[in-house]
Amino acid sequence: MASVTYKCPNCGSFLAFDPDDQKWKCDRCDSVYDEETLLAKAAEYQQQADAEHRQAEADAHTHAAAAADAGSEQQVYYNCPSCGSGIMTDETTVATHCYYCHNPVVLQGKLTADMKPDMVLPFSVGKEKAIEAFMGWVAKKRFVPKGFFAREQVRQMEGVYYPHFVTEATVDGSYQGEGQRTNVFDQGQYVVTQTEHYAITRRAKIAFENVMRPALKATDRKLSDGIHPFPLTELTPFSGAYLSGFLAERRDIAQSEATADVADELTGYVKPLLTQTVHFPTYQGKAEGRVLRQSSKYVLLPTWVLTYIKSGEKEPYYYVMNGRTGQVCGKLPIDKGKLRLTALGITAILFAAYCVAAYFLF
Amino acid sequence: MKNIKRTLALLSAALLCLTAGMAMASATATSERLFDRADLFTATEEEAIRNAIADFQKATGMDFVVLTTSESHGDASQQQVADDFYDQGGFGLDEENSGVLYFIDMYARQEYISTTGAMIDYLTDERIELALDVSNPNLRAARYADAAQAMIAKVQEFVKAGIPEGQYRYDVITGQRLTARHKVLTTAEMLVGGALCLLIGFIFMSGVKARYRLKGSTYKYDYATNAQVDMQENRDDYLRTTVTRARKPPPSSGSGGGFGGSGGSGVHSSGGGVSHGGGGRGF
Repeated sequence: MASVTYKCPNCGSFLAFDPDDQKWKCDRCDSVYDEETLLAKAAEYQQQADAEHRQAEADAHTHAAAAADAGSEQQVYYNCPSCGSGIMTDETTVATHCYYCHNPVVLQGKLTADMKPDMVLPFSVGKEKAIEAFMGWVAKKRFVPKGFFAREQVRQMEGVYYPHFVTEATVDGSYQGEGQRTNVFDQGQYVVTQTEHYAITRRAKIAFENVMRPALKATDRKLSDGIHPFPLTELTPFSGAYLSGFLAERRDIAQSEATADVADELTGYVKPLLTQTVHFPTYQGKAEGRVLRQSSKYVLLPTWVLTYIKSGEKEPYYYVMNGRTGQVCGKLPIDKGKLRLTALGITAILFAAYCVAAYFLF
Repeated sequence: MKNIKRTLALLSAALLCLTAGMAMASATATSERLFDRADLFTATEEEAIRNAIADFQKATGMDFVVLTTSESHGDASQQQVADDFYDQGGFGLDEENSGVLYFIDMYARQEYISTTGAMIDYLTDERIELALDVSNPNLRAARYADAAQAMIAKVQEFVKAGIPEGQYRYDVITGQRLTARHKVLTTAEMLVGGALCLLIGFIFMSGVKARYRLKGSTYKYDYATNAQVDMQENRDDYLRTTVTRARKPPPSSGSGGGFGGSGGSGVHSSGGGVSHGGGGRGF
C-alpha cells in the first residue's frame, strides 16, 4: 500500500511542514516551497493512492472470499519510500517517521475513500514555540515544584493531527410559555397586587456550527476537551502534504456513531437561545426542537502531545497543547508543602482580618 | 487549630506584661484608702479592708476607696460628695485616675458607688445594681464591714470579667450616647471565625488540587457564539390580569427613644468637670 515522503525537488531530501511560516522546508538545502507547488504534488500522490485503492477493491471483488478479512493485519506494515525499511504502525496512524532514516512518511494508502479527511487545520505553533509555551505555562503555575520540568525532556513533545468530526445542523425550535408582570401599589387600607399574564410564543430556525466530536476511541476526553476551542474558520481543504513532519491518526469511529448524540445536545440549546428574547420578570414554559438538516466533516486538528516521565514518580504525566492557540491541558504535579503553607497563610490573614473587623464593626 | 493556639498564646503573653505593669504601678500607691469617718469598723475590720483594697489594686491596677460619714451634707447629694471626695483625694493609679469609691452615708442611710476613668466602663448601671444587691442586705443588718468587703469582692469580680460586651457610656442628663458599644471577641467567636477561615483555606487548597488534577474541566459547546437564531415567530399575547388585595398590617409602634437593654454606663460630670459613673440605694 502507498506510503510517501515529500521530497525536495532541489536535492531530494525530505520536506516537512513548517508551522511558523506555513511553508515546506528542506532541512538539507534550506529550500522553501509554498502551498501551490506542494499541494499539486500532494494531489498527485493522492490520486495514485486512490487508484491503488480502487484496484485493491476491484481485486477484492474478484477474490471476494480470500480477501474478505485480509484487511487490518496487512495495513500496519509499510515500506519507507526513502530507505526501504519496514515501518510498523498501528491501524490508526496515517503519518509518522521512519525509524531508520527519520524521514517523515505519510501513509497515503490509509487516506483513501471515506477515510480521507475533508479538512485539516495545519499547525501554526511550531515545536520551539510549543516548548516555550509549555515552559511558560508551567512557570505560571505557582504550585508546580520548581525545576520539575526539564527543557530537554519537554523537547520530546510530538505534533499529532487528531481526527474529529465537526458537525453543523439546522434546528427548528419552538418555545411555548407564560410570562407574568406584577405591579404592587397601595390603595387606602389595602395593598393591591396586580399581575398581567401573557402567552409567550417563539419559533426560530437555528443554525448551529462547529459542534465537535472526537473520532478516535482512545481519545482521553478530559485532556482533549481542555484545549478547545480550535479556530475552525481557518480549516483548509485536506492535503497529505500538511501531515509531512508530524504524526497523524486516522479515525476509528464511524461518523454516525460519533455524532449520534449531537441532535440531543443541540435541541437542548433551543430553550436558552429562544428565551433570550423573553423579557418578563418571571416566566415558565417548554421548548421543543427538531433537527432539519445535519452534516459532518471529518477534520484533522493539530495537537502537541507530551508524555513526561519523572524518575521517582509512579505515573507519567500527559499534556496536550492546541497546535493553533497554544492552549495547554494536563495534570500537574503539586508542591504540597508550598500549597499547605499558602493555604495556612491565607487562613492566618483572613483570621487576623476577621478579628479586626469583628472587633471594630460589631 | 495551630493558628488559634498561636494567637491565644500571644494574647496571654501580652496580658502577662500588662498585669506586671499594673503590679508595679500599684506598688507605688501606699496612701490611705479607708476613711471611716462614721466609725463603723473595728480595728481588725479596718485592717482586713485595707488588705482587701491592696489586693484589689494589685489585681486590677485601679483604685478602691471606702468612705463613711455620719453627718449631714446639706444640699449635696451622695453623688456630689462621693465624686468630689474622689477627685480631691488624688486617688487613682493610672492617668485617668481609674477607680471606684464606695460611700456609706449613715446620716441619710444611703450607700453610693462612684466610678471614675476606666472603671466607668467596667461598672455599667446594671453591674452597679448587682453590686448593690450584694452590699445592701449587709447594711440593713448593720454588718458594715461585710458590706464593704462584699463590694470590693464584687467589683473585683466584675473587673476580672472584663468590660461587658455591648457596653457604652451615655450622658445621664441628655441620654446621648457617648461611646460606641464595647466589643469583645469571645472565645466562641474566635473559634467560629477560626473555623471559618480554616475552611476557606481548605477550600482554596482543594480548589488548586482539583484544577491541577483536571477535575471538572470539561469543554462546553458555546452555543451563544456558534448558533445563529433566525426568529420566525415572536409573540407575547395578553391573557388576563389577576388582582389580589390585602389589608395593610398596622404600623408597628417603634420603641421609644433611650437605650433599652443592658450595657449602659451612665456618665455625669462632677463639680471639678471630671466624668463619673455611679449609682446608689437606701438602706
